[in-house]
Amino acid sequence: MSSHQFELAQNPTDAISAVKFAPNSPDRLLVSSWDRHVYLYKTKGEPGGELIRKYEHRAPVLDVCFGKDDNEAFSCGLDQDVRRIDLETGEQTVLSSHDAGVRNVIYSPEHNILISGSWDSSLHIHNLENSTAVPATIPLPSKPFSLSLTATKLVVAMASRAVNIYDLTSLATMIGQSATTTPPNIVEVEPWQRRESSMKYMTRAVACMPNDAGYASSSIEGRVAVEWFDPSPESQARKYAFKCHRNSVEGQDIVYPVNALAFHPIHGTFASGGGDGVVALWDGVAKRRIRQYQKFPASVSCISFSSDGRYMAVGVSPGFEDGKEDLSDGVVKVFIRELADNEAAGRKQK
Amino acid sequence: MGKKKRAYPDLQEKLDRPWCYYCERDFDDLKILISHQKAKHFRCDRCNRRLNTAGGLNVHMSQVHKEVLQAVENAIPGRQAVDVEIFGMEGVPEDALHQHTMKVTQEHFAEEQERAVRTGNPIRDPQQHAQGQGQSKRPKLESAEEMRKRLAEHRARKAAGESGATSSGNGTPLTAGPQSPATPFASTFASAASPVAYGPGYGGNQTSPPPVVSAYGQAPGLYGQAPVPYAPGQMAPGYGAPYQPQYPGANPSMPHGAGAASPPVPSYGQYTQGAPPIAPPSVSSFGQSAPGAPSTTAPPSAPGFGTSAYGSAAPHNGARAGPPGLPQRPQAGPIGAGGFRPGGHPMNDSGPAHVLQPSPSNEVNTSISASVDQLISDVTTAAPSAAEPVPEKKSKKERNVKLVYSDESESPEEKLAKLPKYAFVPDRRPETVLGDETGAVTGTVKQ
Repeated sequence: MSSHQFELAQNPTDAISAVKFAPNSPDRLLVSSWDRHVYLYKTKGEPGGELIRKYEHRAPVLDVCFGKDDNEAFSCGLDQDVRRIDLETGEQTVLSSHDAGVRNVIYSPEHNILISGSWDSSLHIHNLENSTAVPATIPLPSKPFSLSLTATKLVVAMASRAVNIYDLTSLATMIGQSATTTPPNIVEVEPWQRRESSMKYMTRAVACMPNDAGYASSSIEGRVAVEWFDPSPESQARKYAFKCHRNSVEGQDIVYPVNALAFHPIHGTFASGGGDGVVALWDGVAKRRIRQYQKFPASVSCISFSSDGRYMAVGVSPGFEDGKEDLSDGVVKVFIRELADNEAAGRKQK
Repeated sequence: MGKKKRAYPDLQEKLDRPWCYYCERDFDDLKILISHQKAKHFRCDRCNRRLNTAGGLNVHMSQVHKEVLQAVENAIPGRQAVDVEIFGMEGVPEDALHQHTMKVTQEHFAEEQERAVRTGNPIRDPQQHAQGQGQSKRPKLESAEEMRKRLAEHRARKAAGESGATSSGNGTPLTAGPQSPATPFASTFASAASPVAYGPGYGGNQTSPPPVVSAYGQAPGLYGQAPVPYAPGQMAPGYGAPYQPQYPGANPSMPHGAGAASPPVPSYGQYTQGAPPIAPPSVSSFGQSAPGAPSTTAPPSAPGFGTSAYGSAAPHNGARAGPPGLPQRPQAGPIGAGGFRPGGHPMNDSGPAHVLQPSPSNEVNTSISASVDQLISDVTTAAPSAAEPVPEKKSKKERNVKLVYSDESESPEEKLAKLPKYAFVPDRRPETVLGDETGAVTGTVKQ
């Protein structure tokens, strides 16, 4: 199987905040953008993919995710709302509102709950079984910057290098019990684990391993850390961090933020995308870089693998760098890469 | 060189190393370079096939993967071009070659200088000097030839001196004349140089060590007027004393080679003046002994001494001329670097050198002292200049890191969100809500 890469024909007009493949069909892709739209593409078929529909929002959209099937999506953004979008009809429903921009939204199919993280330093847990219930609000010690979950765990990476790990089952039962109809439904939940980032700089992204063993996190200072959930000293001793997405120019190291992390659903390897426009594939177990792709024309803001692991979507937008008043001019594009059979496979253990 | 591998390869060795056009890394041999290029720069990122050249990779990618190679991977900026065919060291463009040579040369000298500063050693061995000739070293080469010429002159003079001591004694003041500081000396020396003055001092000195002491006692009286200004600053009697006994013993064996062997000779003339035993005066000593002492000194002095001073006067000079002043440098460096230059040199120049030695040796002295000066100034100037790159290098490793995004408390998205074009005013919701349905739902859920 050969591999090839193409860019979507109809790209958003402003920076891309998220790309997400559908849980079931490997060619259905959601893209959220600062241009206040969510885009739904069918990546196969037409060359350059087919834009099925756009969903307009009131403010820049910061994240999007699929729900229980390929026709349900959730979005969040600067309008401080968390929305459910029916992708067929285009109907949008506001599920909850935060007190600040909502950075992340993530759906757990195992527990049928939706978690949103906002810069108001809180998480909203939406019980989708009971649509009338007011979502539970979990206060956080800091602003959440990135969310990721496995079947059992939710990892929240926050400002001040804090990381909270919640047990999803207990979260789900908790919100089931505290179901009230009167807001605010604030629930103090002790996280399963509280950690400090093993990196010195602000955490940029977090992504959980598909095998539920641990997670990778990245910082603004060109570094990726790999850690394990298991609190035993042996497992904790295995954690490590490494430098990447750096460029040496005349003796000066230009260090880019690592904006995106995504695990490959089949091989368990992961991709990192940096402000340098590079996407690299890593084998977190063997601690090896598998490959590094040719530079994209601008900063990589998000990465997603399709559920079957055959495709990788890369959202490329100009990065927001120090000393700039605005987004630098640059390319806004979504690239879809069809991976060859073992392109993302880790090294064989010898 | 006996060793197979020197600790610090010289410039040519460095320049000869094969290096990779794409990443400027150098390798022990060409095979390794080629396998490096295949692995790092000419590897297909789809199927991991290693091609031999960028063009080959391009063809491979377009035929097998239907893709176009845009840039050579892992290449430094500006060297990513696909159309440059590189294989090992072949095909490297002229300007890149030149650039690399420059870079290696610069690094080499910077490193060398840094090492010189760090270790206090002279910059290079003589032969390596000859190879890695920098501008700063040129004068020494010239002096080599001159020295040979001088040696010939010296021999001629010596021959003349042996025939008549007075004539040379006459000659010296003349040559010394031009140098003003020398004149007072010259006069004193002229008197001192007369057989009468020399006779007791020298003859006594060299025959046996004990008399030396007496010679010392004598000497201040003899040269009293002239040396005084120098003596206090430069030389304490005690200084000379320990040296003195040492030399007569050391001389015969000549343990130090050319540079060190000569000081004994000057030591006499010099000590009397209270100058420290520095290498340059040795030159003068020849002249000095040549006119005054040849007949008198040589016979009584120890055989070894005689040979060193006279019989081998030529070899001495020759030796000095060959690696001009180089063996002396180590001495000059550590010992004299600081204090010796200011005090010692004028002494040498004006004192024994001028008075006793005909002009050519003057030049020897000056050229040597000049080269020493230069060496010192080389080192001293090298010190700051080498010191500068050092912290730079450090900072490159440790500090010189530029974060593209460095805010520790706000994510880029938060900053973006503050831009006016993304501004969102929650109060205006009803108007901005899309579609009636959503608006309605918004209302109910929210309140």
